[in-house]
Amino acid sequence: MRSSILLSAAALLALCSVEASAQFTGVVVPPKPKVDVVVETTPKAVAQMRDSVARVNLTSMKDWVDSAASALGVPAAPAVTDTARMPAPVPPPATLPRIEDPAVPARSTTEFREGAAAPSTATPIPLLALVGLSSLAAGLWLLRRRRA
Amino acid sequence: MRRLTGALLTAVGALLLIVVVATQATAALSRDRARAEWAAEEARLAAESARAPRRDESRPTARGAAVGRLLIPSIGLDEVMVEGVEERQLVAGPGHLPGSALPGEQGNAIVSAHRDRHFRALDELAIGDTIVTQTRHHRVVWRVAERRVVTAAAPVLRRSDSARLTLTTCWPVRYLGPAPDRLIVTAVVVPGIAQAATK
Repeated sequence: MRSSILLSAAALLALCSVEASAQFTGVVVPPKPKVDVVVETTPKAVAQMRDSVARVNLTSMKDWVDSAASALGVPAAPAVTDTARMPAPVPPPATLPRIEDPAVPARSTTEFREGAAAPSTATPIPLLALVGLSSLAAGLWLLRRRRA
Repeated sequence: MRRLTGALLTAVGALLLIVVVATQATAALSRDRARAEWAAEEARLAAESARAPRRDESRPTARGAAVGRLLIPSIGLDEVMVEGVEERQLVAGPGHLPGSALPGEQGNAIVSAHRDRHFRALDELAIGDTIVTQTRHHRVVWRVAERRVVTAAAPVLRRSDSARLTLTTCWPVRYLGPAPDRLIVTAVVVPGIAQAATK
């Protein structure tokens, strides 16, 4: 019984995955907060700092490498793009040319304006129909009578 | 627990299907109303032209009123266009964007429709295909000159010095949920075939 409930819930989740795909990025663990190196100022520590082989625990290797690179005149590495937070690109159709737009938020066009976006003709009806049919089928399957 | 989950899923599914069926029924009624309105308008125009040909090009059109007929033989489309592109107009038929030219007038005439209703086969339209529009004053034959896909926010609506017809719908045509892109089909007048409807 439990497995059938889990199966139906998984089917509903899979159907709604298009809408909920943006939520999946919520599981990305944020980076840990940076901890500064604590430097002791006791006479013993000062003596160790003067020593060329003093033991220092490096907690930020990237900062250390960047500072060393800048001292040597080496350009720093380019910034890393976090692709997990970017929306998945929609593949363009192979036979039709595609025009990319500037980063303008979509606004519903109900009257002609020069340079306006095409009117919003998106409709959720096919999705509603599919979810409704699936939900109805899953519900009827759960309600069916088992043979003795 | 099993029966409760089953009953809940059945109730939600039935409710969603009722919403879908009610939407489709409303759309069918609105479409029939627009067709009847256009048929009456054609009859009125025919009677007027028989008495004394007269033009009233500047007469404004109310939102939801029938403004003309759109025929695309290659995809079997024959619909009555209505004024406006909001949801309550788009359920009745392809919507003419207010402020844009009417088909046959100088300028860019923009007509939009849902991809799951009147323009469900618009992606099958090929360059060179014929489109016919009939309004109160013009019957025009167009030829498809361009097809392109743009994102929903792309600034594609432009004025035109010459008569031009732009059809828009959502893209991809077969997509679950609100489609992210738009299909734009542009057509130009076939020279020598455009004519006044009342002649």
